Amino acid sequence: MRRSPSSAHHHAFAHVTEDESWMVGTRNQRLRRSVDQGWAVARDFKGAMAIEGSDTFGSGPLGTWEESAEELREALVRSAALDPLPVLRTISTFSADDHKVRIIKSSRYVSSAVRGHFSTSFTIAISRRDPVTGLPISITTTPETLSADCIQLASILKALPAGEMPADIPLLWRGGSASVLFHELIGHRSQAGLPSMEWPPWLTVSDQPFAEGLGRMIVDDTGASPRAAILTSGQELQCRRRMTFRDLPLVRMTNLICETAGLPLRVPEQRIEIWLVDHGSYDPDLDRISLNIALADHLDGSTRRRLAPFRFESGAESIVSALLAGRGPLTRYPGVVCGDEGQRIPVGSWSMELLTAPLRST
Amino acid sequence: MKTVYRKDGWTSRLERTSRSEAWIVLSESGIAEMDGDSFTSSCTGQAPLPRPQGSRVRFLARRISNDVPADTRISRLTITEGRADHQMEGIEGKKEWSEAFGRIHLAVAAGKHSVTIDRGGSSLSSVDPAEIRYLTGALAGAGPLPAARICNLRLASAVTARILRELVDAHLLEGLPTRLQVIQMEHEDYPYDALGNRIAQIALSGESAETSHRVPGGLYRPTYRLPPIAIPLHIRLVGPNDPLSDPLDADMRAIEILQPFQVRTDSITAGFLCLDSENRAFSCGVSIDPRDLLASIRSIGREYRWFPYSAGAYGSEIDLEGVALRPLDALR
Repeated sequence: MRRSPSSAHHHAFAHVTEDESWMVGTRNQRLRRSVDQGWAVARDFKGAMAIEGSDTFGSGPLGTWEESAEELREALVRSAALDPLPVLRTISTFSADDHKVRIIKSSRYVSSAVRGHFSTSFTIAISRRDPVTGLPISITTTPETLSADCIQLASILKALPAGEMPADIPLLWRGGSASVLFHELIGHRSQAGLPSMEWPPWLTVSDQPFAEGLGRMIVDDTGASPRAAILTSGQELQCRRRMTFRDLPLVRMTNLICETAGLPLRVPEQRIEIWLVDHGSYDPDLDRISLNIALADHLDGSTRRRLAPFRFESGAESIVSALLAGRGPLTRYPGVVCGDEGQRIPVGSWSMELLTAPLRST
Repeated sequence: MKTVYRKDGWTSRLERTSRSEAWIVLSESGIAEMDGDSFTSSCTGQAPLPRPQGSRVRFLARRISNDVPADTRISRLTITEGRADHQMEGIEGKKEWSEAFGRIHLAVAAGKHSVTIDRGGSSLSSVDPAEIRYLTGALAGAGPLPAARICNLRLASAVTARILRELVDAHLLEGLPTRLQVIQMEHEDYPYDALGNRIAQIALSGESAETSHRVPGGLYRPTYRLPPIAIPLHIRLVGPNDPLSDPLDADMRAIEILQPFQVRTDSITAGFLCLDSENRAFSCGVSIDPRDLLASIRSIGREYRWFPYSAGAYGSEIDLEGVALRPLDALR
């Protein structure tokens, strides 16, 4: 394949993505299958990026793309070694309920002056209903972490009595869920190019492209070498990512790792434990975040009750001042799919447990 | 019954954010098949449509960049134009139709306020740069509403179209006074739905509402890679043919929506960029039960205009009576 000159503005990118939706449980039925493919070539245009692309291989300005198309298809066939049926069987082992499952297999090729790089990825999204609230919740995982995440999901979805939202008690972010808080609070601030804030010295949040997570990258989507960034030290995100050939590669998070050290964490008897977050957003104009909490329990001593989903929003400064302490171990959160700029990209997420002061629910 | 849908098209677009800028030209040729619950899609591998020579995208990008006041900042500007040829084969034989489009999406912030402007039609000629200059100029000069007040409020067509689209998509038309009706309307440039059926005018509310389908209206297909969605297209709120009240009766005019904008079952929270009777600009907003908002509608203007919100919405100027307008900070 012909190489193009270097720089983020000068690269070629191609992908073949197979996206399947299944209903699993009492029946295994494929509802939808979409194969998306295409190429894009980027060049400098007066300091901006000029991109030309198509879903039809062989129609590109670089000459023949048939070779890359064939390589990508072969890569997809290799990735198709992931037969969906064992995945579906694994999921149904942990619950007899009907689930919606989405399996996305993607083969990508990016070339710059210095390298050409193939990669493949598998993402599995599972939607279930909370037996207490009856509301849907979802996780995103990979074949490697599927069993562990199904076990974890079955564990936190056990039937509990329903509880009332208590007023003004601390929040304990469990199961890696604090990574979603920091995804909005630190990651999106960095993506928006805003200056770093003053963070507690016991907190380290970093973006680690090489970590074995949903966002692992050896080469980014412009052909550049990715670099880790310690966001709480003011370093900027380094990786450009894109959803498809149609999209502009943007500076995005890859794998966000949130570690705490130093302070001993004394967990209060009265607390809300947060397990899963449904949706979050960051408003760069107001420097505010909002989070929809999908799965949370109220603990009062040894009594645990399931709370209805709730939402809170707050200014970044208020949340920083609410950060109290954390404790290990580092736990992988089952999937963050970041939708910034309309491009839905999976971001690997890990965090230790985090205790925060009460945050106002809306 | 199996249906086969093919789409060939191209788009030319500018994407500018606070951190990046790109000019993107894409061509696509795709096929989608539906058979019962099963949906599959892929590209056809056929040569796509020839791409355009020249474009209004660059002209409009330059014009908007020059016109936006210096004390505002563009957080996002997307200008798109394109063309698509559609073909549908199914039980009714083969149908073919074409569409052209030109759209602009502009998010501008001034201080703590931000406005999102979506305009479009069958070409970028339908986007009026003077309107964008007017709105961003008002945003730059907007001060906070000094205090909450009850007033008569005139909503501009862009505001009513956006609120209506949200209410319809969230199935929140309960409480619509019987003298008002929401309809799906034809559109001269987009006369066909995703199956190639002509979009018919039907009532979506009231005694004559279409009830033969769970979601009345047509089918909307934003891309060949997804199954079409049942959703009312090109919606419009209509009322009795009473004219708008005298402009002096409207204490304030909401000319665009500001953030925050949230529509829930029990409340609409919407920021407004407002002008008072002396054309002074204010940032303010409402937090109101959707039923109360609908009940406060006093009159609807006869003129209407189409906006590219989701599957399309027409907006008319609407007068609301006795609305509690609040400073924007009180809504956050």
